[in-house]
Amino acid sequence: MLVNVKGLVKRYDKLVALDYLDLQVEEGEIFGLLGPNGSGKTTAINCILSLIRYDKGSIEIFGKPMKPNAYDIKRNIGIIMQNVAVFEELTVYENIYYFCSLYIKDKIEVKRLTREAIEFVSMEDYADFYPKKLSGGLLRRLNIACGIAHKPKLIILDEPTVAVDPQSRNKILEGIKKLNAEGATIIYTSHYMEEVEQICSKIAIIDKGRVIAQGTKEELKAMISLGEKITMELYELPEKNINELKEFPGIYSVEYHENLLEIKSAKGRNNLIHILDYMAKNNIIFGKVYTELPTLNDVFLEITGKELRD
Amino acid sequence: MTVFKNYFRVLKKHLAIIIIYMVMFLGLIIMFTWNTGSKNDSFFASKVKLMVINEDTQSEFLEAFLDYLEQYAIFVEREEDEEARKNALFFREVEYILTIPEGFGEDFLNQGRMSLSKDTVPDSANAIFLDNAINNYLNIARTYIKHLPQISQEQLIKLVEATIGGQVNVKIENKLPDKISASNTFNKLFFNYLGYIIIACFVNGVSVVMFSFTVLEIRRRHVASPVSARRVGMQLILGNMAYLFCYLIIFIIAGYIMNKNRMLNTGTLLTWLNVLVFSLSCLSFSYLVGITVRSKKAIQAISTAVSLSIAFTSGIFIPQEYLAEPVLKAASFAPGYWYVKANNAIAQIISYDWTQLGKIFGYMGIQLGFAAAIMSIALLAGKRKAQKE
Repeated sequence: MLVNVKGLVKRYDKLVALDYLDLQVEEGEIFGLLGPNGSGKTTAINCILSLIRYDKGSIEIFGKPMKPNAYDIKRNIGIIMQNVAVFEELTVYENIYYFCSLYIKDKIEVKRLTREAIEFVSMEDYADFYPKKLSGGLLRRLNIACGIAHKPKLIILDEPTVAVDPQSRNKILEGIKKLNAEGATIIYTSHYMEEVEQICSKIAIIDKGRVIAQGTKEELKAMISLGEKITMELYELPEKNINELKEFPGIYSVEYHENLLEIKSAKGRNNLIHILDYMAKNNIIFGKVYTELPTLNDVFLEITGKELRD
Repeated sequence: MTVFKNYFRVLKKHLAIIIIYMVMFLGLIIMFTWNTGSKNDSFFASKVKLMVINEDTQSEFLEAFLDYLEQYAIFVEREEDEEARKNALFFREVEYILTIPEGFGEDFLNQGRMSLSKDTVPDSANAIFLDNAINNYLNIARTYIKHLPQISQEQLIKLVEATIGGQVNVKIENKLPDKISASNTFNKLFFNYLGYIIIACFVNGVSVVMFSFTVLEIRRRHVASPVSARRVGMQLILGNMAYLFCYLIIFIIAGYIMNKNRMLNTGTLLTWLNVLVFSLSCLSFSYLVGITVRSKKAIQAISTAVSLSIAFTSGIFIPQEYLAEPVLKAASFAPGYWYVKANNAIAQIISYDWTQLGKIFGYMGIQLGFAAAIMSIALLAGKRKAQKE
């Protein structure tokens, strides 16, 4: 196990930010830490990195206890903060070079790694630019380059795509996958469930400082009763038909509003055929039909009773 | 020494403003200090342009009185026309018109009440000066007449002249040889003005760099790196000290070259020591500003406000002798006041005995106290800020 967090407690006066948090990250994983804003993701990362003190619990990285003076462990960790952490006074090249040189002593090696990091984030044309001249997306890419230039074994990314345009976001996500493919273990925090679903091999859903569910996305979705969500465009649907639909086996929720019928069914049942058959028999004219599998938001909703973005 | 090197990479970006400050004020210092080359060490009485309208008959006493006035006045040819006299006053061709009325001499010798009349340029200091000279002569003469009613005019004139005596020459004596004195005076002016530049440039340099290094995200990157916080801190302190020494060496060399009477004496060395001590307190202050402010714009505002207020109240721009007591009292709560005091004391030092040196080292000690106190506050503030974040 690469990272092992056990019973982590962090309090800010009366507020419990982390409530006996447990996390286990295996080598080679992209581990997603998903939760709404204020759920404790950044606090957990700050504790893991020994940036802040915690009240209780233990953290082990690479099988050794993580402490503020555990420099051997720190040497193999790369961090990408939520806010861009670069010097305004240094160029793109100088920033990456400086942060890389904090980890690597050999100057030639630092130069090589700096060039590689610039290539990795596709910023060759901006190497001599000062951060003030870069767009938000490019700044995020620079932030990532500063964190990964020294080729760490463990990379921790704390919401690296906040306020980033879709193009840069895709580049960042592709980059993370590439880093993982090259052998780095990734811990990725976000409140964007689509991102976590897209790249993470294992996910922990966190709320109010506690892990409420942990596993692969398939395992997480298997934890809830929802199997399929069917949405139909209907101009009219009498109450009688809604009640009849509710009687169908495996269907536990039928809602009709604003010309949209939303039916939620249990997993393992092929309900769409039965519903279409019913509509035809009752001469109910319908427009488009969508079927969706449950998302991580549905998982979060079913467990906590609230939306992930509430 | 990665952090140390990066200190100067960051500083390089702010070097332009520091160099502008340095060049601008070096130019001003040259202007101010090179005008101090000629010095006056004696006083000469200036003379007033005087027109005498003597309507009295000539007497020995009046003749002696006018001879006496020659010491204080340049006699201007008499104008008979009243209008011409007024014009002469208006155009400053004459500053004082003294009218001796008919019978004044005899009346005065007989202890009468007749008086002289005058017309002067309004608010003229020279006129007051001549008033004093006239009153002085007549009052002494009146005293003798009162006590020696039978005195002859000849005797009276002799006694008054003897009482007034000869002209006193005032001369400032400087016990130091001229060259040393000139060198000390230059050093005093140069290094007093330098105080302002040090505050401005240190806040604009050290504070800005410290701000960049103590931004939360950058600090966290350092904490997460394998370089210990102590090493980062030590390298930053080293960077600050290197900046301080580079800065001082440039100005000390500049000051030494610009001093026409340059010499490497104890006074010069003491001045250099004083500027080093003052720089340490400025460094502490800049450090405090760098780790407590929230934006770089605020640093520039603080730099301007603090450097100017210290310069105007501590005696850097205006000599301490001209400043009001309450201003000096307030200024004494900043190291700039003690820096200037030490500089002035060094410039005036005659012998390097313990009494004089003790006073100077005392002023330096107070500056060191300020440096230590400000640094303690800075460290405390830094710790509290880190805990808060």
